[in-house]
Amino acid sequence: MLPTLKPGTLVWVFHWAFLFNAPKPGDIVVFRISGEVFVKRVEKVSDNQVYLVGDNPEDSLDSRKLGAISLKNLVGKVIV
Amino acid sequence: MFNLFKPKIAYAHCDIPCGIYDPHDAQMAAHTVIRMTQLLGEKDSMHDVARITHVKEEHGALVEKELETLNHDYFKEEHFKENPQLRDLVLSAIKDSAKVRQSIDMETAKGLLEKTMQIAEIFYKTKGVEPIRIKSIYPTGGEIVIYK
Repeated sequence: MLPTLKPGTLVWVFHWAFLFNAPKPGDIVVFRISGEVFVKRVEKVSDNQVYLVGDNPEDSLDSRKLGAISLKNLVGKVIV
Repeated sequence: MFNLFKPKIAYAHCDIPCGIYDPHDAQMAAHTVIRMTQLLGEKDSMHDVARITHVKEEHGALVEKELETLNHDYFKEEHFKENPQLRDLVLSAIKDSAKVRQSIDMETAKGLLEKTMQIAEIFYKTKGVEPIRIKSIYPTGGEIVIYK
């Protein structure tokens, strides 16, 4: 997620952010996929899925490879 | 209570985002598999055969590892869209890398190199440079893909 988040950056994650509100394009979200926790930025929102892309697209494992991510996999929104 | 505030790790990449990818090692390893296959036809002492087979195993596994790194970490959906043959090419090369270890099969070994070279050509094109095939300097002869 360079240049926004550098390795080791400590962030607060609001776990209830998407309880009543859907994620918006531009939000940075934390999500879970195959047991690992990742952080990426929302590019598009459609139905129950989000398309997530890293801020460093040259070198990012994101929806371009993983496909759209179900809202169920979102852990929360990065707030700081 | 304090666990609530304990930081957890969220990744932004599958591993370190180094951005350093190169299809050269896969091609070199594929040439090595061809060379070991040639040598297995020339040597007959049990000791030589054991050593050569060991190196063939290692380099067959290296081709697989290098191609999987490109496949999992480098190639993205847009690359597969622009090159519809890429996905099958990588899968077929990885299968061949197993076949060349299971048998002494020159035809498959040469096929593995050809597929690895085609993947290298696609790789260099995605990097915006022009791939070219040059004569290899190895005893296996044949070619290797580099870029201009």
